[in-house]
Amino acid sequence: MAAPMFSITNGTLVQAGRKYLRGYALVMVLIILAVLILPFFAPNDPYKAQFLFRLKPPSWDYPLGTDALGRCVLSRLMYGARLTTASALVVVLSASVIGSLIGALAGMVGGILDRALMRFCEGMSVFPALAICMIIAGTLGLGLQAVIIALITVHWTDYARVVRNAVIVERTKPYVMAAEALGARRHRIAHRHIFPNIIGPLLTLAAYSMSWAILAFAGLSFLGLGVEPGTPEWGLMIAESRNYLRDYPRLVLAPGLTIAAFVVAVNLLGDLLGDRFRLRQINYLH
Amino acid sequence: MIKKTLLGAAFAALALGSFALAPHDAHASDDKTLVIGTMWESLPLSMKPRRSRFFNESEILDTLVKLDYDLKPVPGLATAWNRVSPTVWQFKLRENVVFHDGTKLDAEAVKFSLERVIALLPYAADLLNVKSIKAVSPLVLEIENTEPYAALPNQLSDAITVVYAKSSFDDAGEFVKPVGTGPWKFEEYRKQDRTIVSRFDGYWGEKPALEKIEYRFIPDHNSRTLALEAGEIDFVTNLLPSDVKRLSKDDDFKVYAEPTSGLYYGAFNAGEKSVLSDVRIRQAVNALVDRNLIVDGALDGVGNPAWDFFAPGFDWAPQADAKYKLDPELAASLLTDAGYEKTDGKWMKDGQQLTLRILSYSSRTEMPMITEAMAALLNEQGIATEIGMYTWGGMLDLVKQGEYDVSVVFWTPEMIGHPDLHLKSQFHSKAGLNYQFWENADFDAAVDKGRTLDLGDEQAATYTKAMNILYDDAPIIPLVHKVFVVASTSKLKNYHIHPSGFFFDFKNVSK
Repeated sequence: MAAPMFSITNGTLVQAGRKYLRGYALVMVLIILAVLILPFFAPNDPYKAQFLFRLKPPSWDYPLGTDALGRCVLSRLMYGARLTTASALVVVLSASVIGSLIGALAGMVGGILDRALMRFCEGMSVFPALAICMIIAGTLGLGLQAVIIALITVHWTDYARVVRNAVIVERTKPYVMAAEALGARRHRIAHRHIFPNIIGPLLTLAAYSMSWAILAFAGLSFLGLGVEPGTPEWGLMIAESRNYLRDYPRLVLAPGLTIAAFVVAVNLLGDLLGDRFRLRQINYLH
Repeated sequence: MIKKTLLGAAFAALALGSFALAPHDAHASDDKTLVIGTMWESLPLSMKPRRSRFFNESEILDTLVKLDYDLKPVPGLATAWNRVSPTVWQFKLRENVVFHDGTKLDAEAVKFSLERVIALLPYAADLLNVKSIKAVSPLVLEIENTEPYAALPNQLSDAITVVYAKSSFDDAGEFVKPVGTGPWKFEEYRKQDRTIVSRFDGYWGEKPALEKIEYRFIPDHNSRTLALEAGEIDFVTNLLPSDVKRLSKDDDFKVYAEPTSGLYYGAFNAGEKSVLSDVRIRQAVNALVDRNLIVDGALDGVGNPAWDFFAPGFDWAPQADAKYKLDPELAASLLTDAGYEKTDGKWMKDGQQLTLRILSYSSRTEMPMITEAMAALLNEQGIATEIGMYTWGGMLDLVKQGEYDVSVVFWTPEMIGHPDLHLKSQFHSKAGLNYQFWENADFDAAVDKGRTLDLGDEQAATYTKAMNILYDDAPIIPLVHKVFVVASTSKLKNYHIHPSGFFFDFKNVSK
């Protein structure tokens, strides 16, 4: 930590940043892999209903007990982890790519295009995200795809704004001006000079938006807009067990606490990244 | 009690839809006011919702004929009726009955009301089968049917036939608000919140003990019962099975439960867009689902397994000669006949697993649980399912387009104590509510004949024939006969469940 690891105005920042990025990427890939293969360790079939073995307390074979239809709660949580993570990942990746491209375009081109795009973004963000999601999911019909599309539609604006602001800040920096003075083309400046310098804030935002996507996904599933009933999905598990809240609180607590723990973990990761990339100095996010 | 209130408040805050309970409304009711939590919104400003049922169940308006607690027709606004010819019925009206607006009830008023109902409600004409209505004298009403119609008095106990005063309609004949002859008059309606009725002192029958009834709309099934436990309401309808269990053990509350012949069932799409156009698959599904497990597994035992169409124990309800039963071997041979083959525990044909698109709606308390249980049981037997949970309207859109295989719904045929209502309105090929694309000419003929016949052997034989056709051609899978459940505080006196499930009868109730 002694050496300056990341500095905005220094020409070596790209090298220093990359080292941490590689480490970060490795950790992320490992976590995601772990979550994706989690279902293979599930003790039971998460879909198998056993009507004569319902609402059973935790046991050796069913570590978190069974739900109202006699399905293994732990196995459902493990399958749900994959579904939730994979869907949230799709949302975050798509939203970040789309949003970054549009934000970079606005920031680099400026002028009327910038104003038009940003007003549109602001217009979108005035509405509560969940309300828009409900309208879109309602129009497209129920199902996982509709929810993913809805979340992307709502979420890209965050990236567009962050990237656009970052680009505008970076453009006034000497190294960009130097590149411009050397006659570099605009897309080359954006791609080779500015992008590596804003990847830090982008990754941080991605971590936060991952937790947002997980929560939004669970929320929509809870409302019955997401996946098909019976699918092991955390939000849906809460919705399906809430009728048993009074007598079997563990059925709601299990997915509820899992969501909370997962979101806190992802947020901590985001904080860690934020510290690493000294976001407080840059202040792109607020 | 304080502990209970706190607990209630905490959970209410947790439960979605808790916004329906504004905290400052707690303990709003006094001894003369009854506050009820309902699953559906009580909509007093339109005739159409729920076939006008609110007007009848709340007794703002009366019907000519009422049903007693055995579902036998008894005098309502009509004191006697007789059939003067096969197609003509005469009704003798009750004397000295006044509407809430002070006008007198006479044959002209009833004629006006019935004609408005037929004009405004599309299904009314179908059910009432009226050719003409005549006021023979001030207190004698004559109804002529288009064909011999023995079921008319029963049909006139249905909620759609409640008698409206002239002032219920505007000059153009459109419905404005309910003005009737019942013991309760409409007072106030707050959208998405509550409907209030107050005692009508000019009521023709015995004067009710209570002064005011508030129908609060609490759609969330958890919140509704919590409101009772928190003391905000006195009476709650449509409880969750798990709440039934808990409240039964609690001395502060009374739980009332009565079997009704209301039926949860899967309506099959017999049209060409569905694999269920093949009767063998419909029969196989019927033989594969263990209804006992649905009742125990999805409903905590609150309900009766349905292997037949009408629940047993009702005189008026005809039965088929046979009942469905769990018979995997029969199902296997039917599916094999239909070209399916069981490989790896899955029923396959042309490389594809037999898959059913199942639709249902979540606003009715027990619906999602029953639907999921049925799907799980089919999965176990090698039939794949895709479930879609919608609002009632959303589901109906898909059903009307034929984009489904099974829709899990509920019927309440006992409303009039006669099989005609349900058989005619649900399964007749000309019926407005038949979205199943199921047609059977013999069935149509039997039902059309049954409604013309007086009670007796011929009527019984005709309806048995209709039921046998239903059994053989299997347009539905009966799942659960509903046990109607409500709960109240232990202070409430003299409440009994009416077996129609759509008649509160709060006249004698006090607290």
